[in-house]
Amino acid sequence: MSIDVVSLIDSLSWLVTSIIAILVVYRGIEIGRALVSGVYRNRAFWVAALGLVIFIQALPGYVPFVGDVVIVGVPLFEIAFLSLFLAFFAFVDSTILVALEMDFFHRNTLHWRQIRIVGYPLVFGFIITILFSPPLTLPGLLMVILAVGTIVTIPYSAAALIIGARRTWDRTLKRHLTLLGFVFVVYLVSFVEATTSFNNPTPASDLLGDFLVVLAPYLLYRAAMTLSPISRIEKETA
Amino acid sequence: MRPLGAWNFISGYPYLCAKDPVRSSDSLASTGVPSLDSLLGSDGYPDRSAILVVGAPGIGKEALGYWFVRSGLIQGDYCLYATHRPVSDVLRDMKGVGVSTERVPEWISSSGSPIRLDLRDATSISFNIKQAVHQNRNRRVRVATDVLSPLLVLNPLESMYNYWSQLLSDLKQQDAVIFALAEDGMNPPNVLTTMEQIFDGVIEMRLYEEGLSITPLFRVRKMLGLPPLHGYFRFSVSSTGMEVVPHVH
Repeated sequence: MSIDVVSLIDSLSWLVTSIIAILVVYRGIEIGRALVSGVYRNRAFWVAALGLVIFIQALPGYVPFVGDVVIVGVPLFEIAFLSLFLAFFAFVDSTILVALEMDFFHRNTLHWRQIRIVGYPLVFGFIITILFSPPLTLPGLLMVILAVGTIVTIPYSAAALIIGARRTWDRTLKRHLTLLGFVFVVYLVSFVEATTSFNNPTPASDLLGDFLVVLAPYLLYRAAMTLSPISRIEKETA
Repeated sequence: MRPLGAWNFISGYPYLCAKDPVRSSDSLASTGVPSLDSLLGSDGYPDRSAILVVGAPGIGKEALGYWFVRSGLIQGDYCLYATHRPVSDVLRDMKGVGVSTERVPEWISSSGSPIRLDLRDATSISFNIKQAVHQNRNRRVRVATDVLSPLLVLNPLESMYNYWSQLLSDLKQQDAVIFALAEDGMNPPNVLTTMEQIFDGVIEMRLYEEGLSITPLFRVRKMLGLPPLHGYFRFSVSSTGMEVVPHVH
């Protein structure tokens, strides 16, 4: 396969990713607007936020000059990449709160209601520090606390999510979380693939990377569709 | 309250005009939502009835329950709210949908109430509700509860069918209107269909897909004393109240 075709597929995959991400944003906002309860509405809006971050991340894949855009001295791409951490954490947090709400016994899974209060400043602080402080001038201890805190917070939230999901009886939420689990797995495989083939890219590895780039937001879109049970209007005879 | 005939003229929904009010207004319990009262005939749910509201989590079932309770409190009815949630959560939710918490119902809840609700003890839930209602037998009574779905999950369907049949029957004898919530997705459809049989009215609140847009709609599946209401109704909840209007699609 020629380099041109691989390059074209690469650009297309980012374009398709953007389109799917926009659909995720739209679905998230639509469902969020339709819901009354704040906990459920927040979750839908954070799905939309996650979709928006993925959209911005995908832009430089087919609109090259976006990669050069700089906001407050920081490249847009870097902001989008690091915002992904915050959007992911906020989304996972809102989903755990929904799972806690749906638990009949309202158990505070892994003390999540307290942990989230620490989690937000940690993740947010980590992102801000990375974005606006040159790495070599960072106070070492602060950086270590923020980095370790963020690294610990994410798997901890994943554990809370899994336990919360096991405690709920809602089939829609279970389906939503299963799809979300697949999104995590696809991103993980994509990350491993990108790292291993970084020095020796082949057309096959590029194609696999492109496939994974599209698959993850597609699964997120499916997850967005299971935020709430959605029916179709039946035609009735009056 | 908007005149029924005028509304029908504007919306073009023949069923609204076709139904004759078969109940006198003094035997009705206002839903707390004027537009829903109009839809249901004149002034709300039938007295001595059990109403089931089925819907997706977060869609606004509870809001309908809060308005129902608030309306009862204003009218001087005895109102009881039996919930598996802490009282503080319910109060926060009430404020969130614009329901004043100056007057509150009597609570049977998982925490924050004098009488504690334990989902693992269905007998005590039934006993406590009946006892509270019995103590107020000289007043009109409204009972709202969200324990139906959890109890259906935690107990066999057959025993729950008998349990709820007995409880609803006993409460109706005490001149009570019962408002129960059921979570869509929490219980299999056949379980909910079975339970719907013992309720006098069934209201469904769901999200519907129309093209690319998603709309929350409301459907009255059945209501004691009324002919079947066809069609869907759009509803919205804001800090000023709840509104139900016919949905044209």
